Amino acid sequence: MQGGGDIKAEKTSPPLDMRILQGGRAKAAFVAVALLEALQAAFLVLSALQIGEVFQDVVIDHKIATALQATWLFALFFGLRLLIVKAADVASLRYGAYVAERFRSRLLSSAKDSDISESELGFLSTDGLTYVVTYVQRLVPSLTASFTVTPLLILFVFFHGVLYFVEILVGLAVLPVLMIVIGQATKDKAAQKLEATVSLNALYLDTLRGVGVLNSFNKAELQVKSISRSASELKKTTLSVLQIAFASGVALDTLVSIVVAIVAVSIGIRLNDGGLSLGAGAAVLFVTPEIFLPIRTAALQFHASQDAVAVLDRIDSHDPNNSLTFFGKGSSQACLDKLDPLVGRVAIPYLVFDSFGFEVPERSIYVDLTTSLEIGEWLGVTGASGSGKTSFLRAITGEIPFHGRLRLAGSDGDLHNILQEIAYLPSRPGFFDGTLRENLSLYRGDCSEKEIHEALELVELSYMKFRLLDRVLPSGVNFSSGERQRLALARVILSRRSLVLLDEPTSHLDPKVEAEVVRVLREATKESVTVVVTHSPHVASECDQVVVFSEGKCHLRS
Amino acid sequence: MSLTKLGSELFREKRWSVLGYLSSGALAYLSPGILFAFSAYLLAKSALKPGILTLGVAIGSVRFFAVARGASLYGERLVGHSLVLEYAARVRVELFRALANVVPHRLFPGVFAELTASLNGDVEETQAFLLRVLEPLVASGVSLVVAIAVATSFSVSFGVVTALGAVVMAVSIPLLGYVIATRSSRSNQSVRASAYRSASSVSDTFSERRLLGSDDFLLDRLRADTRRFAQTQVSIGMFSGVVALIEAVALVLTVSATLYLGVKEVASHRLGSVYVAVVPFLLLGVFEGLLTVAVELSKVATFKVSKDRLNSMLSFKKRSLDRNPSELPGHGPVEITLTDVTFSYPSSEKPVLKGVSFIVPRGEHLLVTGPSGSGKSTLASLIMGGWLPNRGEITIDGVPTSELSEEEIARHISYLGPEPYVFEASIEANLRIASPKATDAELMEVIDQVGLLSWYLSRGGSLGSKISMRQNSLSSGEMQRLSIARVLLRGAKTVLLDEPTANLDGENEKIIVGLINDLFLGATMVAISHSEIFRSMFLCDRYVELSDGRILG
Repeated sequence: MQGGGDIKAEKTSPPLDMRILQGGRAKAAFVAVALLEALQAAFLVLSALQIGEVFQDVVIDHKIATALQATWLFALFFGLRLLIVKAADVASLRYGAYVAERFRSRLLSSAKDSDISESELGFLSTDGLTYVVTYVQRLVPSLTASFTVTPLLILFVFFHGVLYFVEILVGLAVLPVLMIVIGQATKDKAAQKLEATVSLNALYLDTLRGVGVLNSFNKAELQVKSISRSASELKKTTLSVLQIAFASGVALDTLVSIVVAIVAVSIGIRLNDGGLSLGAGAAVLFVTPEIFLPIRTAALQFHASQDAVAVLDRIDSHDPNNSLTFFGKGSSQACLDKLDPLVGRVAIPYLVFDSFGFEVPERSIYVDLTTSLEIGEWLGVTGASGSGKTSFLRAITGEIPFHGRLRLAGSDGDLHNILQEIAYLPSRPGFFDGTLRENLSLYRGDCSEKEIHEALELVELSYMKFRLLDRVLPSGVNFSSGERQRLALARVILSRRSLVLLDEPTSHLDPKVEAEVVRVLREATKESVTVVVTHSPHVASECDQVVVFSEGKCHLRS
Repeated sequence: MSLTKLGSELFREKRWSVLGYLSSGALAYLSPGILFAFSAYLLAKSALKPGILTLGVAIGSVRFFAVARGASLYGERLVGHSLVLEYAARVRVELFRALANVVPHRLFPGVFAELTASLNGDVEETQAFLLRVLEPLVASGVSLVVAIAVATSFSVSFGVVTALGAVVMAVSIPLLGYVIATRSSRSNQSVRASAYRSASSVSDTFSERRLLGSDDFLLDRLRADTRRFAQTQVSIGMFSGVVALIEAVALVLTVSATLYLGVKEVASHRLGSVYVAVVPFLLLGVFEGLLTVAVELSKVATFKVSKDRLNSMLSFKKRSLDRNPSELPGHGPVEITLTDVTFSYPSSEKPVLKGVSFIVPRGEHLLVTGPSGSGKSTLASLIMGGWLPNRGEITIDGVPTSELSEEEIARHISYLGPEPYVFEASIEANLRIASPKATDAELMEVIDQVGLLSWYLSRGGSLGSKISMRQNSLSSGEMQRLSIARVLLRGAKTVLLDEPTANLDGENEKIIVGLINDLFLGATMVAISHSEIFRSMFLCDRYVELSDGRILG
């Protein structure tokens, strides 16, 4: 918890996240927006001059005809200016979409290999990236305007009088100082409070998910008080962060208003002295708030940009090229040698474990196994829960790093190819939103109707034959756990892959069905090697070899 | 309870805060206009070289409005967020209450999971709607009325043009924007839902999908869905851009029209020349705030979907009782009888249970077995009072469940379901749910009884150690043992076990069945299981086998 807060506090993110400038079209888009902003500033100056003209004509010179003409010109220039502003907004929107698209493809290529939770993947790939679009769309115009519009307008003011120029410069100089002071005050507090907010939110969801348990003990109503407390705590912490954020926004705003007021007042005093024409004064007054507008907007975006930057960080953290946490790059692939030539032996070992092992230090599990399996053989894996049985399967699929060697005849030893030889039945099989047929033919899209019917008969689900076009809801919630287990078995049977991994394949089955299913599975895996994690004595007795996990070690029993 | 009702409750209690919020909002919208208008007046006046007093007042006013703008902005944001967060807090509490009414005996676990997943986003959507759409609309509406009044005080024609501009900018164009946004947001919602489904397909099948190699069609589908989502987002953005552009044109036309009229009025001596720019500058300031409101209207459509979902959750009620609930006398083990019970879920016609009758006398143990889909878990929901039979009757100590509240039944019958839940909290807190007053020694005793002692020691041997499901502090077997420990700790006299060993391996399962046999010796017990080990070891007095909703034999 402390760590997370520290990282956030240490990182002073620049107003512009450099990642949005990556990619060929990004820089061009950035320049295009900047040019549009400069153009709109020019039209702003033109309309300011016309406003000044109207003032001069009406109040001082009493030239109504020229004043009306200036009014038309003002409408024209000001309208054009707004048109260009909107064009710059649209350009930024497109730009944002481009940046988001780049990050989307990065996210999806990391989703291939790393286990991102469904809510995170769903969020990041949709709404999360929308934050990024919004961030670019809002920040880039104001940021580019800060270094195009602002200097241009300052120059304009300079020509009208050094005094306003100095006043505005002081305002501009105070602005960053103010921002730094506020930023310093916000930084630590925001990080802390963000942490608190996140954990309080998690607490709420946690209580909500466990409401069934609370209810069984009649404790739900009691928990209302603590929910209410955590909800108001959430309110309090959020508010205290907002207080600073708002105070800073408002301080900037007030500063700008005061500078405008000071400029207005000094124009007034000079007009009173006769040192300035009313037209010029009005034009200066008209542009003064616009000088600060881009910087103010950019500064406000700076507070709001945290969401988008967090999304970008998140996507980066999932990219396997950026982290070493996952398999493939450093660990397992290196362990997979080229397959030895296994010709010339009487029985060809199909799957060879050569000092194959893995470690789970926090559970003090250190596994080291050497054995080989022939085609059609079953390797049983038993042991108490938590002894490392499932980790063993995960090591075979490279999901956790392993040492030693694992060789599969027929594959060239490359982990990527071995993976395509594996059919895996996890203890909680995965189902996806699609038809039942699609779910069954996950591993092999070209299964025939007949094959599917046969597989369903084998797992005693004949009645599903007529439901192949039914929709499966996410996680398969519209099937009972027993049905899901059997459907997943059918999927493995249909896969025709040469290495079959089964994690507790019969745990949801009725005992009568278990013996039958094991018989069927043995029949269906005649052409494969099978590794089966089980606690069922019946399944273990059917295996050719059994690895027993206990006290952090494993030993082989034939 | 509904969102509107919660809102009006909050309004009644905090009327002054709400009014303060809205009026500071209106002030915030008005103040830049006033600042601008005053400055224009000051300039024109100064050019005519007035007395020092007039100049002084004008200077003071300009500064005052500059500061007032800041203050009202700060007030608006702070009071607004405080109110909206308070509202969100109340909505959260009510959502919890509503869900507590139907979980676990009346709501399917899958539905429940889906609801909790969307819940946080929905609450946030509601907050965004209140802060960025509703309040700005009301506040800018008030500021527009003031602006129209001020304009009319100078000249009726100013007032007419301002009102016209206000109607176009605050009503017509936003309405147009809303219609377009609603249509595109609705399709956006369905695209988003489909992207989320694809994402859940991708992460759900992670173990299998990694083995798919290059033809990973699930990932391709997610890619297509999210791309479609992004495209809809961009087109919504473009629509908003068009709306904002029309707004900008309307702004230019209105401001220029007042400027033009001003010049004309001055020419015909109906208006002092110093006032020529007051109204146009006022409008320039006031209308600028409106520009953002129209764009934010695309949020209304997403809010509507969230609102409907939240309202449907908030309407969850406990099973209603025809009259005042009865109470069960005594605290000992109960007797449970089922007489010709037939039941089908409200949404379907197919009966799940057909004419089921049995009796579990006080202190006896009944085992219910049967293949999956035979109605075993439905039986458990019925006994716990989540549903009432369509025909027949279930009684507890002679009292029909139709006369008992679910709480009263839960007070006498401890339920243990197949899906254990562990809270992200200390071991101690996780256990004390069952019995808040239990001593540490009692906690240690049940931990030992369910065979979690070595696990407990590996967690640092402290009751205060934090555990959670997310961090895999417990295997699924250990989680179920913890649930059983809760039931033991409660000192339950009647226990309903629904597949209690579904997640335990052979050795552990034997230990647990043994413990159940030993520890609930005098209790009334209904155990539902299809496990061979459970069936062979569980010491039962009676035995019922269900098949397709009927009792066999």
